[in-house]
Amino acid sequence: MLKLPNYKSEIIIQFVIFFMSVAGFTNHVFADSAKVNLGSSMDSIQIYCMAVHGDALEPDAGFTKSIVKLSQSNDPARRVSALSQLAVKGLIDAEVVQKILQAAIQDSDPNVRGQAVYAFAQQGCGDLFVVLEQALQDTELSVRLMALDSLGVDERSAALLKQVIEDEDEAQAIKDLAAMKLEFLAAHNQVQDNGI
Amino acid sequence: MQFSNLKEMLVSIFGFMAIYVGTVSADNQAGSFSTGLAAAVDFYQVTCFDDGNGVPSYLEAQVKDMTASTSKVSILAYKGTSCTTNKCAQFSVDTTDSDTTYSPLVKVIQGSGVYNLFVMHTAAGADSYDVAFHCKTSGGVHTGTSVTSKQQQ
Repeated sequence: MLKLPNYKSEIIIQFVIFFMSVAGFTNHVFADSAKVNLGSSMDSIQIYCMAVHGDALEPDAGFTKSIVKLSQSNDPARRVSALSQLAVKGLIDAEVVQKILQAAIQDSDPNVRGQAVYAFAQQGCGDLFVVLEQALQDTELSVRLMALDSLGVDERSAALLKQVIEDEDEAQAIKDLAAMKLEFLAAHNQVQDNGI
Repeated sequence: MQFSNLKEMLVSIFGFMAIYVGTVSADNQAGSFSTGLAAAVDFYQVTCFDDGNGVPSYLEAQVKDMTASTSKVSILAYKGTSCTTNKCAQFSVDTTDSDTTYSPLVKVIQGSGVYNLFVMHTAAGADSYDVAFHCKTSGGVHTGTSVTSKQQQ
């Protein structure tokens, strides 16, 4: 049992309270920053994710709980971690995925928004092209890169890729990725045409 | 548990805090490719030295790609030019970036001194990563490890 004179106990208690206050204040600041979105073009987007008939994997309650907890963390890196694990379909109920992505796509942190866009595409949620078009307007390079990365192999995607390449104001990394994807699309279409 | 005086107790509290901070930041280097370019290379130098735990024998390293995307993050650890007995360079890539595990662990057995550590990715994209690295003695005991960043792209 710890025995200290009263005045010493008070000093220690005050020190501990001060330390906890500082830690709490830091968390509070981070928590608030997670809710404020400054550079996103995706504020008004409503996400729809539905379970596909024949989904082989049953939702895992433990995994779902851990992902939900991570996605609500004050630390953006942990929120990104939750979303990167959603880049693989299955194990989590579509309704839960939808809620997580809806919040993440409006996150103040661009890395979280970008990872949400990629997870959105991988999960096969509705109105993908609309979301990607909006994400390509984001002020942050990382979000636009993720949107570009998430584009499919259809004609609309190809048109968007060409548009990006021709945009003189666009960043070189975006143009490089768009060119790479266009090359892939051309090769893909060649294979289709040849019936291989 | 008894403390003879206030000073002793405060030293203990600060000691616990120091251990906590040290544990969190030990031998890990987080980073990201801010330019997004495919050719981006981040460059670190890891120094292996004897901190009292023993003379370093090798550097071991692995990387975790923390952003799920088409692009995958890899590392190349390199030291020396005498590569016959022991390899001078080792490569490791995190092929699954939608999980929380690291790439395969690689070892470069080139003793004490400065190891070059390059972090790359396979395509243009927004990638962030965490590299875990440790200098160890021939018996596998963790010894002095320090890192400096030389290039960020």
